[in-house]
Amino acid sequence: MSGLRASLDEMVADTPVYGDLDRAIQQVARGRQRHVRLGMGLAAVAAVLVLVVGAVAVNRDRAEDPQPAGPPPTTATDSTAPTLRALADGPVEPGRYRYSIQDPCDPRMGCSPQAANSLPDIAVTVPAGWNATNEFHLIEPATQSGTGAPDGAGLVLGWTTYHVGLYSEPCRPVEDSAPDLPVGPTVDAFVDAVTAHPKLHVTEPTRVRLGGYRGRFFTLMGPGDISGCAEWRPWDPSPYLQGPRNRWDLWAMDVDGVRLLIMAGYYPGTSKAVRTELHDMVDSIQFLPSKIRP
Amino acid sequence: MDGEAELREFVAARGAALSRAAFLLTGDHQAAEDLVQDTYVVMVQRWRKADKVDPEAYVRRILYSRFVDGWRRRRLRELPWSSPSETRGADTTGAAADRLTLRDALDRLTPRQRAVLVLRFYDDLTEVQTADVLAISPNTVKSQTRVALQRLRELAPDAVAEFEGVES
Repeated sequence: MSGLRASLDEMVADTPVYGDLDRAIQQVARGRQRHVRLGMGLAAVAAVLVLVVGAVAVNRDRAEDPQPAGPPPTTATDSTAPTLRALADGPVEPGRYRYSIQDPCDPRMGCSPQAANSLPDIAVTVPAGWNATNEFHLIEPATQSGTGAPDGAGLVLGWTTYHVGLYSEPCRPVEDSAPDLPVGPTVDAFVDAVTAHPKLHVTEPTRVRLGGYRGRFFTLMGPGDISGCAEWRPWDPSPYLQGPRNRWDLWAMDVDGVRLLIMAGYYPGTSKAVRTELHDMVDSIQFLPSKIRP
Repeated sequence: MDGEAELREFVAARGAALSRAAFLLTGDHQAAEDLVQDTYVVMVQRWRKADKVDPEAYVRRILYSRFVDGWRRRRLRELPWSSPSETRGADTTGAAADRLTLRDALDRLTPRQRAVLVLRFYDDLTEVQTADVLAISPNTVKSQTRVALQRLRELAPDAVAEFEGVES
């Protein structure tokens, strides 16, 4: 180990100090200003709409209903719907959260910028004993196994989206190539490609509804021996198999024209309690309206 | 001390170490610069939350996760046209040749394997600490370390001969 450490030290001996904190601070400040301007613009539009709708409603009431008015009607501003907390990295307090899909699409890879800017957020209820890692779109049990075999689990929210390609050989000797099987942007295109793949063992897909949207569900059963693979990855972007016999329950959803994949991963050795919590989280999912992102 | 002053103090103290780790991860100066800058942007956005935890561990986690996740996106458009390392062949004598061979071998590891090696053998983190940074299980750290070291031995036997006997 000391030899490896010494070689690594030698590799970085002449490394300059990278990064410019001032530039990062300015970049973040500009982003916040864009948010504020966008919010002010939307608020102004909303205010105008409220005034117009209110004026129309008042005039209509006066014209059609000469009787004394009853209790004031409930308006949008009376809504008691709670504002969901954002899912943050680390241990998750039990509760309902908003998860924003984080930059899963690079427009330079051929993704549609319009779709990338209109991805929905996901509302999910998380029980006690789970950790979140936003960078990996992941909620996993706060156990020694995490997502690993033989008894781990994980809920992956929206990592795989409408731009994805399959690998003809999921057992990757080394991660050095792009997916070689193109897949269309729809739910059916993805599910049909996966089910037709000779090296992917999946259950018969069924039509489902989740979070108010339609999609297709199937389970991918990972092989029992992946020792010869640097990674076993069926498609990309996507996580790779976290261990032998890793099973992925997959909901391929069409959310206002955007394909999103929800994945619940587990093993035959995962406890019934953890699997129940995992699937309860899936059942709790709602797709929140898309929003414009700067 | 206000947040920005804390940030500046942290970067002054740890910026060089972050830069070295970024270079070991990416093997490329431009990519390392981009990774550190990207990490600083995320760090600025989240610094208020970071003061409740160990800032170094928090920033390390940002750096490594940005690397693993970002590299996965980049490679889809870059690798079909990838070229040999910019300095490959520039110096073929003695220790420098060994260093380049090890660097080339590191280039052929998966990002997670590379991250595991840097965290375990450069940052001297334990398996559990490494698992925490990468949000994976210690078992995965163990297996990825084993596979990565074996891969290095296959790719650069001369350079890693002195590592034989390393328990993974």
